[in-house]
Amino acid sequence: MDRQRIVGLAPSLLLVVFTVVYLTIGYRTLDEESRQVPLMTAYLTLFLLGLDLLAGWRGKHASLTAKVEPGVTLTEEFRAALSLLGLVVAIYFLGFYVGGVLYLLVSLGWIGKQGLRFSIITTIITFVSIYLLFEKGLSFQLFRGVLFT
Amino acid sequence: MFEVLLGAASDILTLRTMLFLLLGVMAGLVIGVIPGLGGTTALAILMPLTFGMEPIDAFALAGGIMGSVGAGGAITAILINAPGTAPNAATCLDGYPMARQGRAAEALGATATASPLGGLFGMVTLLMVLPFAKELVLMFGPPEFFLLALFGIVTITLSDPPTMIRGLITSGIGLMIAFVGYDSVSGGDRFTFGSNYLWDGIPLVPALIGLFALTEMIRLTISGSSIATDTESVRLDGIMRGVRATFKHWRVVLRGSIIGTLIGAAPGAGGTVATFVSYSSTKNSDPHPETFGTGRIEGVIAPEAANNAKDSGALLPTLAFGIPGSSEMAVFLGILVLHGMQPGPTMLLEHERVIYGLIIALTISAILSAILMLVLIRWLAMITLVKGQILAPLVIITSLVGAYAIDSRPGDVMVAATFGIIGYLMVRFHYPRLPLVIALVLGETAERGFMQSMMIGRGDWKIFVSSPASIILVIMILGSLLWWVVPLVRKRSRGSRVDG
Repeated sequence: MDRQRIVGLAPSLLLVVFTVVYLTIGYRTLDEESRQVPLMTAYLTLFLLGLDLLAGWRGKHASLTAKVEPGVTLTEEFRAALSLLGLVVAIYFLGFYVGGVLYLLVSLGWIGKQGLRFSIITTIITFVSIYLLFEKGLSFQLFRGVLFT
Repeated sequence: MFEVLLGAASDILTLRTMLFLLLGVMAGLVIGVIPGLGGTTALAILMPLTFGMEPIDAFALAGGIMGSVGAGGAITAILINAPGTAPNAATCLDGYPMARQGRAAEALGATATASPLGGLFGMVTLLMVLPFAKELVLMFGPPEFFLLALFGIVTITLSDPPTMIRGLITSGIGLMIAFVGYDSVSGGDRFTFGSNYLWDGIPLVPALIGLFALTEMIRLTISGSSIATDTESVRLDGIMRGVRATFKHWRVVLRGSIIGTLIGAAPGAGGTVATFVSYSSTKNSDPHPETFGTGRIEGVIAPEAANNAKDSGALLPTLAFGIPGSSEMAVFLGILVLHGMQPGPTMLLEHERVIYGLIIALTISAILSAILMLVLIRWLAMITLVKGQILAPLVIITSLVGAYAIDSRPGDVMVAATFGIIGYLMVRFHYPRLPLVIALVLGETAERGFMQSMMIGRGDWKIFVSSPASIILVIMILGSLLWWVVPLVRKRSRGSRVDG
């Protein structure tokens, strides 16, 4: 079995694990009435996952396991996902204003390779707009972060 | 009736009331553009401000917001794949691919035409059925809700044959996620692990922001390119093409409007269900359903017509019984009570003129927001030409701010980001996102409808074919199954015969 096919089967295998964990938790924590529909759905999903894995094993899903965009490296994908997760962590600890400003400066100036002046001006305009719209216009206070509250 | 209607028109068409209406339209457009914030938030923010106003001015303001917020939400749905409000998520499916092809102005032109047409249809229907609203609203009970949800899930999942199995898998996973949280039937909590945050379940709007806006922004960050490379997206003839296409596909507008009005009138179903059912029924009735999702103009027209028509439908149970058809209507109910009106059967008799005034305000609002959109389209569409490395971080920040602003919970930001990454992985490994979305939207309705029906029918499945509405829905579900599965089985057997 070639490497690409194994990579293509990995998400279905992960979903099998997710469904089995879901079923186990359902049996352990829910009463008969509460678990009726969720577990029925989980069993049906497990059956469908079996069919999908079987089709993948036979190579019938070859067209489905191909890469989405040729030329995109795994490192680039990881970097994009990590920068999003980094922003969420920054917002949680530092809040929207400090975390968001840092993220925009890094994303525009460093990752996006824009000039420093452009990055600073864009960041200022964005956050002044957000502040005016939410805090002044809608009287809505944005999260300040666990370190500042 | 016409005398009352004329009286209501004269109340609305004064300079002061029209100014309040315009203010409402502008507020609705601005709030609709922000991903996550919708009509409910806009009305909730403005509700205290209406205290002390003349009732007709307050209703003009509220009508302005309700009629325009969907149009605002469609702008970001088409341009950056970020649904401004949850019902606009269906518009992303074909609207955004159109923007990527440099046809943003065409999609926005179609939206600006289909929305008011849907709104007008809903208003006319509302005016006609208001006298016998009770029978219509009572047609929908738990079995019909379950069947409606099942119809939505089945048609969406089966309509893409190459990914049918994976579509069924993702709708299964979506349903499993939708069951997290408080169980309204048994009264307990499920899969919450003791977390208060999960008690309300996985929040829908942050999940939609993640699956649509953030997924696309991750892709743009990686590719670094702009959404569209063709300057066609900002040309004026594109707008007119969209306007003409809407009139050309008048059947799609009509179908979407009927679906929007009917589902809007069913309490609890909501606008998101209306737009997705409208989209899937248009897709299924097309000779080339496989081309939907690649930039079909009908895929924009259908949900947008339903989105505006559903407001009129939702007014039916709100005014006639005091049962809000949606969360937006629940807040509007508060505005009615604030101004000394008690929604219910007597309201139709005691405040007839005010009700007609509100209907006129909603109609004018839909038309005004469409005009404003048509004027602004050319400049709005320029967003699609901005480089991905600049646009993506800005949209990500705005989307996360919008996700947080819904309920002021940092957890919503995490949900949006998580679904953003899940959405990207789904695209990467060819798992369709739409069945997941529709399952998240309809999961709770489906389960509640199923459990309540079984309780009412004491475990007898005949409850699902016990009324004309439920029989029609069962026929529609079976028809959809046969429509998709029979050709597939035939194709397979023909293929195996050739192989043999």
